[in-house]
Amino acid sequence: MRILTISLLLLFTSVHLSAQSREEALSEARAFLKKDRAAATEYASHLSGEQARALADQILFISRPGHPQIDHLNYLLSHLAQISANETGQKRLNNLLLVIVLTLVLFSCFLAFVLLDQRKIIRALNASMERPPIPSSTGQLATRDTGSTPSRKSTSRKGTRRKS
Amino acid sequence: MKGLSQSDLARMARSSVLDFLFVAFGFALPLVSWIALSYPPTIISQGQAHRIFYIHVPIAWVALYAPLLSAVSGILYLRTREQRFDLWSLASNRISLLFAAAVVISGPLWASTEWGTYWNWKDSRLMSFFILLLSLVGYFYARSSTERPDRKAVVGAVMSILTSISAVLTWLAIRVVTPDTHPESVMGTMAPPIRITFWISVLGYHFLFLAFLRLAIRREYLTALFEKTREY
Repeated sequence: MRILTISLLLLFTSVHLSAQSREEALSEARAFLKKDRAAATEYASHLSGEQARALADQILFISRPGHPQIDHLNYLLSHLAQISANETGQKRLNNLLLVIVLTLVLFSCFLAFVLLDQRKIIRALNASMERPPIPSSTGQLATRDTGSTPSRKSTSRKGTRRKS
Repeated sequence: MKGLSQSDLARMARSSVLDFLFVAFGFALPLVSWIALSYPPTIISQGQAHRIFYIHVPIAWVALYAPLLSAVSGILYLRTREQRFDLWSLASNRISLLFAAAVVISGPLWASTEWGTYWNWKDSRLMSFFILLLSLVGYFYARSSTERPDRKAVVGAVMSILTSISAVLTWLAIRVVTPDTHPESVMGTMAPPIRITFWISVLGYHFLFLAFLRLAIRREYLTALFEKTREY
């Protein structure tokens, strides 16, 4: 008997507390509905996802007696919001991926250009080092270091002029 | 112009300890990209597009101060007439042009979802950056239209100084003039995960900048060495 009494007391207390907290939440929803549009938008923009969902549930609960079909509208709006969010999210993701890919391509192209060009210059330099000395008009071999013998420039070796 | 000797050019064109930067970059950039894509929370108003911020802003910083580096080298050239300063200035502007092109690609792609348009011709930040890009193109055009190497270096130094003024004005554009659509500076208002990711990205892209700069300078030395060899 004692156990039953305690259980009933606990049950009543929990029901009372639950009703009290729900009433508090509903009053918050009512206060939200009384705000003008700008204030309501400002308030809603600072809510987290969980808080916004709870507020929407409370507003639905308040509105249901007067508008029994409000759940239809609610479903339609949430469906539209989901589609719109998916479309925008996909577009944003595509742009992010495009930025990553284009930046990567740009930097890779630059790296490839510089490395290949360096390789080309090094090959040309090596080739010019390995080339046998050009015989001068007097029959002697021309050297690069001494200025006494005719230089390669005087033999008009053609090469493309590099412009930076 | 006080040209460098063949042995100087060959010594400078050789690989050095600085090449560790390439290794650092090789490890840093994929890690930076992974952190930027996964660590900071999504900003509700911008969705996944806000992650472009971690690429766009560090790249824009490099594009803005590489011309300053180039201008300093240009001034040093005008004072000393040493060829190496001209080569540094040229390499620095090459990197700046590369990064500026990346900024001009990434910015409009972000704007297309957030502003509904790729470009706003009335925005002070966008227009000043566009002028910077034109200045960099002008630098290379002016250099290529000059034949004599010493004149080319002087023209390059002067153009570098002008380009650096454009870079400073671009930096000031969102701090002095209220931009039309471009977001204002958010340096002091970032949430901790966003701030941490941002600074990691800045570090990663600076490694990239240093690595590219080293590579570009070496290429310029090699080109100069090649030109010198042809003279013999």
